[in-house]
Amino acid sequence: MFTYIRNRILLAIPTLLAVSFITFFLGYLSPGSPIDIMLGQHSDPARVKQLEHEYGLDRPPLVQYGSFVWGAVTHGDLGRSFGTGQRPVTQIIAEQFPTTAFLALMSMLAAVAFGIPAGVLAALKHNRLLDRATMGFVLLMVSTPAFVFAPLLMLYFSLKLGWFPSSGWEGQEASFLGLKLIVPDWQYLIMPMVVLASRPAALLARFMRSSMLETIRQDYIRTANAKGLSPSRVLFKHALKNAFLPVLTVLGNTFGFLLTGSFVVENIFTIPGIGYQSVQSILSRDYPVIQGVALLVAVIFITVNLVVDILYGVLDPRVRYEGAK
Amino acid sequence: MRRAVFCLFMLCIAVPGCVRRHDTATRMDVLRYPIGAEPSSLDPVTITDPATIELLRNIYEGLVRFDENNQVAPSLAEKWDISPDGKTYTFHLRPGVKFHNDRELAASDVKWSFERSLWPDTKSPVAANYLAGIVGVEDVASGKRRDLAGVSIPDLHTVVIRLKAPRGYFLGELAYNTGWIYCREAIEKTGGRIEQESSIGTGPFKLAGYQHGSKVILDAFAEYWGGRPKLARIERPIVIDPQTAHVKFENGEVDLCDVSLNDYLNDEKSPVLKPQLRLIPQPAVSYLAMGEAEGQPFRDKRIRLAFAQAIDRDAIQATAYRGISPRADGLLPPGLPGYDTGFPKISYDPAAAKRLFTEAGYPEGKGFPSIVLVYTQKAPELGAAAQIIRDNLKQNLGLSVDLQERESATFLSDARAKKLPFHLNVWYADYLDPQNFLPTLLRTGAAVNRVSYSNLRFDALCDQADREHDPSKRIALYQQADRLAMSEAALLPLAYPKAAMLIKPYVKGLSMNLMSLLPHRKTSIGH
Repeated sequence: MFTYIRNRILLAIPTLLAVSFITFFLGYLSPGSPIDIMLGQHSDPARVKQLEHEYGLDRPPLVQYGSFVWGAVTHGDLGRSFGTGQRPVTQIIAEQFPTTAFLALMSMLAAVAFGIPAGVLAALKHNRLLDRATMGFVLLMVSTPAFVFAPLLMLYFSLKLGWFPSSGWEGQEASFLGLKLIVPDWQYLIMPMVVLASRPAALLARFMRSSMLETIRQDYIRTANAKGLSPSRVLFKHALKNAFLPVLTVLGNTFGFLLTGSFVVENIFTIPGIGYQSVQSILSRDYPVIQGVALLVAVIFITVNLVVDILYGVLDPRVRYEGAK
Repeated sequence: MRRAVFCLFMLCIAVPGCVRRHDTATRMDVLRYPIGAEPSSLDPVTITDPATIELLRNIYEGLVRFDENNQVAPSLAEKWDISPDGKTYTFHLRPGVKFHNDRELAASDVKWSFERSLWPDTKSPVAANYLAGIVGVEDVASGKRRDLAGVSIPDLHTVVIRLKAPRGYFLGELAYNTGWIYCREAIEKTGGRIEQESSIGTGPFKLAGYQHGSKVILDAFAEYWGGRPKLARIERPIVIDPQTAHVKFENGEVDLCDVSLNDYLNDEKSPVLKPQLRLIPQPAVSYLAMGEAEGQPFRDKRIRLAFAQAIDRDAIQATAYRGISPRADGLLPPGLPGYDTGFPKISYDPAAAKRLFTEAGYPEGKGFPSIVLVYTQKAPELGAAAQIIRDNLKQNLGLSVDLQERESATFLSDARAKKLPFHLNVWYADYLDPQNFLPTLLRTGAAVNRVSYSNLRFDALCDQADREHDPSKRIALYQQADRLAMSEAALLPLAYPKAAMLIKPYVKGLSMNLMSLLPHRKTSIGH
């Protein structure tokens, strides 16, 4: 197992290099420049040239890329943002990622709390009213994009009922592993959490249902039932654990998407996370931040996949990795 | 099951009960209004976006400012003298002005602020443009010298600025944010960068907090030279999505908010919101640009004039601008010195347009190269205007025009590279002077003359006006230049866009001019 993990980590290095290379050159080739954004309507060729020199953008692209990689590898320095006070990219990520991670974690919990029981119930009541109602509801959740769902919640629960503030992220400052974050008051958390959790919850419910249906038709479940075990014991002791295995992969990827995919939700609800920062950086062609965020996303997915693979082995001893031998 | 139903029931009762409805400003002395973009920087000389300028205008001040009547007025300088040759300005600083760190303002702060604005390591995109008139600017901006030769400080409260040539609009330029004054020792402590702790100015409010992506908080500065502001605090939540900002206003979470044109029309139908709506003129003009560079068909004046007569600008005003923003014929918008109420119109006249087009060699549009009309997505009205223009040109001149919307950064980049011979855009003034419209947009070789217009008579009129110190003579010269350029359809003005705002009735004493909201020196909340 150790060799397997080591190999996976080593494999991550070329992946990260490829991600940084592609991100850098996509940014380089995309039309529009950060200097034009800074200058706004004033952009004049002479000033653009001078500022390009001051920001090092007039160097050959390979030199710029090489300097970025060198800084990242030797000092963990991802450069400085072109905007927002030219803060270091690592500082921006350290300030804004915890917020996204907190929201993702809460949404994940909500998605699991809804999705798993809903899927299990639907499977147990297969083709009955509860199954159809659950799957209908789930279909609605999957097909409603966040940019539609969020304003609807805002209009109803904020504007009409006045239960929640329409947007924002107010709460108590907290510190976790040396990173500062604002833990929001629950009123600020509910709506973004529900919007962000809705799609993964629906997907989890569907996966859990089909996995459960497959599991409860297995011979060992029939045997357990024939042995006279109580239905709850059959369900919790035998069926659920095995049905959960395929769902685990979905869960891992879902968490990855939640960590990185809250762009729309963070922008609509004005949450100062990494999704919000990404959109701002893309609009202003803030290349160093875009690169930093792309690397972060790659690291998250590599880590999540690795953790899922390890958990797979833990949950199912039949799974063996070549390197573990 | 019963337990679950009971819990659900209790939750339904409890939630509305324990959540405060967000419909009133509970704190009487706090003004809350969203800022529609993340502040691009806290450094006044590196910002060019109106939202950040409006925010920082409460923290920093310059020697002069534009007042509610759009006129240059004293600010940190209580008065100034101009030498007879118009090349030397002597500013007398207001005594007793304090920075937010309680240190008194001195003339040396003015000199240092100008120098820092120009130093290459400050990376100001525009300081060298707006301080360009001062002797020695090039040397400082290019890094040859750190000291600005054209600014001297004979005593603690006097600043003398020498210009390379008379510049009638110099005070207007000085009111722009590149002329604001900041606190040297605070900035030096943060390594020359302006960060939260070094955001120290002399304005009525001081920066109390900035959470990236969340909000900016300003607290009243009790020692402000103009008297303590009535508000204790200004809270500016960062709300990028305009719909969210609108919901926040309706929900009572903010006291003011910008309104898009579409929302304006909807809000006008609401008996609750209508009385809170306000239309705000802007120092802006939208226009159709027809590039006159070598090889472009628009180099022929007859073609530009034919287009001007073939395009129904009244329809654009009524449809694209929904009748809210007035039609433009000249470049200078209402409220700006030099706005000409009797500006000659180029009327919509399809028959005359057709004749002129035929005379230019393109009967029924035959042989005219295919053209693409590009517009920026930043101003939604331009999309609707582009469709009217396309239909007008098809119907009246037999031309096929393709439309292309470009994302803002790409549009700016292409416009700078003069890759957009036929485009729609909006120009917003940086200071309220005709100079920031006419020579800036159309003088031969000007950096933002995107259409390569060149007319020696126009240039001469503008040069003369730029040097002139008598305001009425200056204005008359600019008006002549405007009429001349528009008679040749150098640009085709479409409308003077207006902005809209929702303002809660309890917000009193707001002051604004054409540029934006002014610092909240007199604003108060009174239920």
